[in-house]
Amino acid sequence: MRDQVFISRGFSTLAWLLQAFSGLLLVVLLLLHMLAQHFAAAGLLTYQGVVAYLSNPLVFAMETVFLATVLFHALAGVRAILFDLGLAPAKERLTTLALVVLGSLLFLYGLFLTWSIVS
Amino acid sequence: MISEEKETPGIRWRSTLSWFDARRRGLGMWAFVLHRLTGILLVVYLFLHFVVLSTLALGPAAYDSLIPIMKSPFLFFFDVGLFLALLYHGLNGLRVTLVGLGMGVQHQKAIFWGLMGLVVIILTYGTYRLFLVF
Repeated sequence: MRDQVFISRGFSTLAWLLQAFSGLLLVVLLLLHMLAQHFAAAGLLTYQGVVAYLSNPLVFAMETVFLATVLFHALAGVRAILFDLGLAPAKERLTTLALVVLGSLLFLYGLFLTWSIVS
Repeated sequence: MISEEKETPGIRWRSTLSWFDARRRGLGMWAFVLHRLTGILLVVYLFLHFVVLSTLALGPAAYDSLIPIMKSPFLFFFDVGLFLALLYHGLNGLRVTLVGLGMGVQHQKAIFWGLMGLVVIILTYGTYRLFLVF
């Protein structure tokens, strides 16, 4: 552990930088996510509590950014692990496409879920 | 060996599984393997989190009936384990980022153990707070 760091071969330089940046962002956003939910919010142990929590526009914005960032970071991590399997270029493109579609659908679903209970 | 691997279009199962084996390969490799394992666990948890939160779409009765289950002893240990995985992945990730960008390379072992100390402290506090809720 003196002069090198173990990095997945599945990451290109750009993918690694994006993963590192989104990771740093997540440290901040997850801290906010947990502090807001466990300390600032009146309580999320009832449906009404969740509605009240998400009705705050600042919370809604923060949770939306958090959702996008965590989905990106998680699926980019999955992509790196899959690429480590040594996929053929065509399968690598298919994997990326599938993960982008999955991530987008999950983001829209999360947004829909949040929006539907607030409104 | 490397060129041979490139010529084979099939999946490299042997070398793929070898990342999992950290024996006799030093602290850096252990840190990497744990980072991956906790990463996979956290992805699984993220999907579980989505599934559980989906009960919100079924209305107040469905969500509220879930809360007593969330307070069961099994889920207390689940939450502590989740928090540990989260803390390890997040704080070791800070080291990976620093070192990857060329910062603190000579001191990364000390940085690693310092961050692991932080994991223990935050986990202890979190477990205590969680215990008060359960």
